[in-house]
Amino acid sequence: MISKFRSVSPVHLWVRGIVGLAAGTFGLLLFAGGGGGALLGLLSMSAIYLMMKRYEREQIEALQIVSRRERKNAERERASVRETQGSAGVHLTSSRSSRSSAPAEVSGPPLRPEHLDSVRSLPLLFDASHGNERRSRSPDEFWVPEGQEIRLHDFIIPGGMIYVGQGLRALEEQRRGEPALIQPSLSVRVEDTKVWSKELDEWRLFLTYERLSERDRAFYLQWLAGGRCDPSAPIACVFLFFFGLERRLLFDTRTSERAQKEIPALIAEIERLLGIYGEEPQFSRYARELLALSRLCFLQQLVIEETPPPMSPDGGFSLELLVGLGARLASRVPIQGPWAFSWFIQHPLVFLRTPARRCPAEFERLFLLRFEQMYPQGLLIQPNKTKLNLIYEPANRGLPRYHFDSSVELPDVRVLQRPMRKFAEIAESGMAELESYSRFLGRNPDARGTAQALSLLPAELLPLMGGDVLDSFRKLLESKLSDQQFALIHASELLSLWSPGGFQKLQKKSAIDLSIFLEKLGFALEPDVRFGSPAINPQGKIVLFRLQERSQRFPLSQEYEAAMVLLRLAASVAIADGNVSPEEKEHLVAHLERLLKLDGGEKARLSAHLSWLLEEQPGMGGLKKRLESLSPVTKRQIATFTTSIAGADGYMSPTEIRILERIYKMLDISNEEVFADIHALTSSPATVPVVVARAQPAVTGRAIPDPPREVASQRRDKPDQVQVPGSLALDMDLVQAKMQDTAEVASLLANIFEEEEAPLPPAQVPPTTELSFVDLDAAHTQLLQALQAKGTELTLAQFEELCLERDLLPDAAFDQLNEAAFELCDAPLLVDGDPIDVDWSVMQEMCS
Amino acid sequence: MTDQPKIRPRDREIIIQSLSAGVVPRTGHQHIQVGRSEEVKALLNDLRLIAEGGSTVRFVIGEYGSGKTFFLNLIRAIALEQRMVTVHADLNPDRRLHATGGQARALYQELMRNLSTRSKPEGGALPSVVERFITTALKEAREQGSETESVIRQRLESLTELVGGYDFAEVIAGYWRGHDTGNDQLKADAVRWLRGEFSTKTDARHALGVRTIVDDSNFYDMLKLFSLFCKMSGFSGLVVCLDELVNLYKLPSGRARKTNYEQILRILNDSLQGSSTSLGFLLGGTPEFLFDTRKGLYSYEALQTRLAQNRFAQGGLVDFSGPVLTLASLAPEDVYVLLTKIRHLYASGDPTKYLLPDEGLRAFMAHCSERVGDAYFKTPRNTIVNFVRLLAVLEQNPTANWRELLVHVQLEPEGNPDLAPLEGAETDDEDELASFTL
Repeated sequence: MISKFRSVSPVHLWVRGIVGLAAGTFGLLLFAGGGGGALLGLLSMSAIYLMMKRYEREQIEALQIVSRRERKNAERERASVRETQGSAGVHLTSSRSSRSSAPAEVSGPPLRPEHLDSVRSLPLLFDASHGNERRSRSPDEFWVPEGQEIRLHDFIIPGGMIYVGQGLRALEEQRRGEPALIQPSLSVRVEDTKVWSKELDEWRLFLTYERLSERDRAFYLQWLAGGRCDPSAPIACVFLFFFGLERRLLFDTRTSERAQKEIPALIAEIERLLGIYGEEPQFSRYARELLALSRLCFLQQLVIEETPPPMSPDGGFSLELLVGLGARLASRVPIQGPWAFSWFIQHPLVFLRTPARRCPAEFERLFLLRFEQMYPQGLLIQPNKTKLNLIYEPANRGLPRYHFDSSVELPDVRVLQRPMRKFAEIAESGMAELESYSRFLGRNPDARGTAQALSLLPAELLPLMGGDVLDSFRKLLESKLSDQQFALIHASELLSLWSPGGFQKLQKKSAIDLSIFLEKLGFALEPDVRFGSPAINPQGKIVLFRLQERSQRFPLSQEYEAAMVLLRLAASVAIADGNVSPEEKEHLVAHLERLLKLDGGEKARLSAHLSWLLEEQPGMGGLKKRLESLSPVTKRQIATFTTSIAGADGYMSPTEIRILERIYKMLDISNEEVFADIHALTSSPATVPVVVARAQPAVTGRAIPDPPREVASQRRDKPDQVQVPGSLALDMDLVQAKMQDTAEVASLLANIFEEEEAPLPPAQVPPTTELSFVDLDAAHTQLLQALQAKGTELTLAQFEELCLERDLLPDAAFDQLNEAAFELCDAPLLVDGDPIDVDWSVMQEMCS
Repeated sequence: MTDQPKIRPRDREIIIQSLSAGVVPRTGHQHIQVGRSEEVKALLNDLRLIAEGGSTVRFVIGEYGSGKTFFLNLIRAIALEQRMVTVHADLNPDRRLHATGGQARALYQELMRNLSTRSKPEGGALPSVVERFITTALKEAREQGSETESVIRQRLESLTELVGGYDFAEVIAGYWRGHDTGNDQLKADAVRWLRGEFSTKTDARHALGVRTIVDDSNFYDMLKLFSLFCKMSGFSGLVVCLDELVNLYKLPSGRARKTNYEQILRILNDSLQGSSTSLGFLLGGTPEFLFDTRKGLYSYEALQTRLAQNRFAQGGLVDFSGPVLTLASLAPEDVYVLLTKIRHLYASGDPTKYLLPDEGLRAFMAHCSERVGDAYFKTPRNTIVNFVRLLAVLEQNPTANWRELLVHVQLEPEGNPDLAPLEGAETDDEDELASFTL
């Protein structure tokens, strides 16, 4: 736990007893802060206990070390003084560079040991040098001020800001000398300055100039000579230089007025370095932290940063973040998303589940998004009373930790619980949302950034994370649809984007993901397996359409599913005759919509599905199974409906009939009924409009509302007439209509069967034996008269004889007489048979 | 209802008799026709065309019990009234449009046996037609003072160009000769020939001196000849009514069906192309006969395209000019109206003599519905029969209460005989597996 708040390794801690004490204090402080949470408290307690034990041990060890060290230091100092004098002299004389051209005398630090004596003791927080008998000399003597050029070995170093010389002590006791001190006496070897010992970068925090190899020293000096701005320089160089700045800024300023005046320049230099090397997280962390604290304490600036500091590479709260948050709270500035996220994510007790760990970027975006949605103005938090301790742990190992003293008191946000709970809530929902995405990436680690992976992201994240893949999808969809309602495209066009590798068959899961992905973009496609359509055929076509309302999502209603089955059947029928007339299509959609309670989104999808059906003509495979589960009543309704579809264009083609036969078979309805239904559909006379299906309020909870029962006249029983046995209801309106129709046909027939009454009154006809009516010639008239005269029963033979007498053919005469009778009295005179039946009333009339 | 035609007592008797026997009456259809004015108009137009020398074909398609036969009879009656000659026959396994075993000739025989004119509406009018022709020839001969036979031959000359026309003319002349010479045998032979009753050419040659007879292959040509002959005899045309075409649909042999449908196609083509004159065909069948794409007319591509509905007749528009005329099945309302008509007929058109109030009609229908269910109005035969019987009882027992009688009306659900498989239907040999034993 301590290590979370410190940038040093526990091992290092172990050997530094005094630092251990500080850590203990820090831990205690934490304990106070984290007392709210039981767990935190428990952890703190155990940490403190350990800390105390360790502290005791270290105290003892430290005493032993100090006594040992004192002896060693004394010896070492003597030796180093000798060495410095000797080697520096050699070095200076051996330097081949022309002294005249040198801008200044090598103002290396004074090498005389007496200078060391003149240094006042430093008023340090932890006086590390109390055991040291030989006081360091004033650091000013070693410090090359800004802007002063200096020549070291063969390098001319502009800009200064380095310690040069011999004998500057580190402020931490166990260190021999100041790590940042450039000792001109140490040799350098310029051979291949490009090569930098790699391991140095790893030990960047334990560097000292002294311990560098000759080659690395040359490298460092070259970097300095180059103006400390080579971005490719190893970060160890920067750290080594930064060590000096730290010491100057934090500790020299306590004793030296010169140093105090340099504060702005030092801060500026740190800022400059950050600008170049800020990418390196560890350096960035130290530099930023130092900057933030320096501004606050030295410049008395309460800076409200826009963006939170980058995450500490070691985890846990960075001091800078705490300062930033504290400043915000103190200034009553609301916490914005990024700050909240940093706060949350850096909290040592936060446990992130796999989704957040596997997809940190997505998680962060989602967190910010949700935070923004929840707190558009930011979250305003009242400053708490716990004060933030501003303790800086310098990167320079030769420096003790530094306690900043600020005039402004900043609250310590670490103890705040309530905001954390809010953040945790947001984070938890975010992780839940990312779960499927994370799982997919877990299974397919290479799939990051592919459309399939993106499809699993929450819709709002898509625009942020989509990248090129999303753009290409958008481009395709927009270009295809532009301002149309539907677009029919080759499935391969879309699938090539979806799965660039290509495949023969789209798995169901993948198809669903694709649909969901499109939905997130505000589009949809048909066929969509989620709605009972068959799978997308990669070689076939698909229909794209815009989702009308975002809310119209899966799952759609039960009615829709019923409609799908119906539509599929009906489309098969409509397609049957080779072309689908607009009427048929219209009829299809209109009736489905009327029959079933569908909302806008469903209607759009249904239309799209229809377009697809009509284009792809998938046939009726797989439908049988779905139909089997339907009730006989529903089946009957479907059957009637499909028939009405087939006949919607007023034309029933044999192919349509064949398909209907198949459908009826699937529905377990006998074949004869196909013809009966077709007949009923086509035979309804024009006296009443054909009622295919009566619009009825759909009954909720039923897959298909009341049947399209009344196909034509065959089923004219009205729905409100309950056909219970014994109670028969007649549609009297219909009866009236039929009465009227009947009257019409009756009068029509009357005109035929009862020719107009002869307008001639009998009086006008002279009672002669000659032709009394038009049609009969003399012979027939004679025959008629003979028949009348005979007056009795007339056998066939007698009739034939009578005819022959007059040279008439009997059958023809029979016919002729009857014709005349029909003309006159609208009834036959003779009725066939033997004997022939004579209608005497007609005879009367004819002869009158 | 004020425009009701007056009811002749004889018509009333015939209709009531037929109805109570469960058959379609021969005459008086106008008294009991319910609705269908559009269909009737369409057919009237057809008849007009026939009278003007045209030719028509109508497929009257309706379900079992929808009144096909009644409708055909009605049209036939109208045709007779318009001085046409009608022939009619029901198809059955032994009477087909095309066959090689004499079934087509059998159909022709049946048609000729049923040949009717207005004065002989019950059939057997073939001699009348012939004699009418001869009479006109006779008259003409008298006026011109020439030989009757030569006038006959001269008048029939136009027929000789047609298939079988020469022999037809020969037979008509033979009839005249028989009449002229008092040779009744000759006359009878001529009629037999015309009726298709000669089964061998030898017999025909011996009897009439002609080389051909009416057989399976030429019976349709004979009908065409006969239509012209009717026209010459002073009639306005020939109407051929063929009912129960579903029997063709039920032929078990696909080959037999096809040849029959080819015959129908020929008839249809002749009619549509106008190569037959004054000839009308009325073909009654059930929906499956038309629509079934495996066995029905629709199974025959050429027919199917000709019979398909008018693509433009949609959206409430109807077209009654197509060859297919569909009859809607009866609705309860239709039955109700029909019952009122029967009641009216029974009362001889006098509303004061109605034996049953409207309430009674409804009660009767409710009763039927209760006993039989929906089927009672789809197949009204039983309903009508029982209603007529009820009326008869009421008429003879004026004191009886219809309510009491109603409960005794017995009804049985009717099956659809059209759907029953043919019994003893023969099949073409090549379509059947031969059975053999080892």
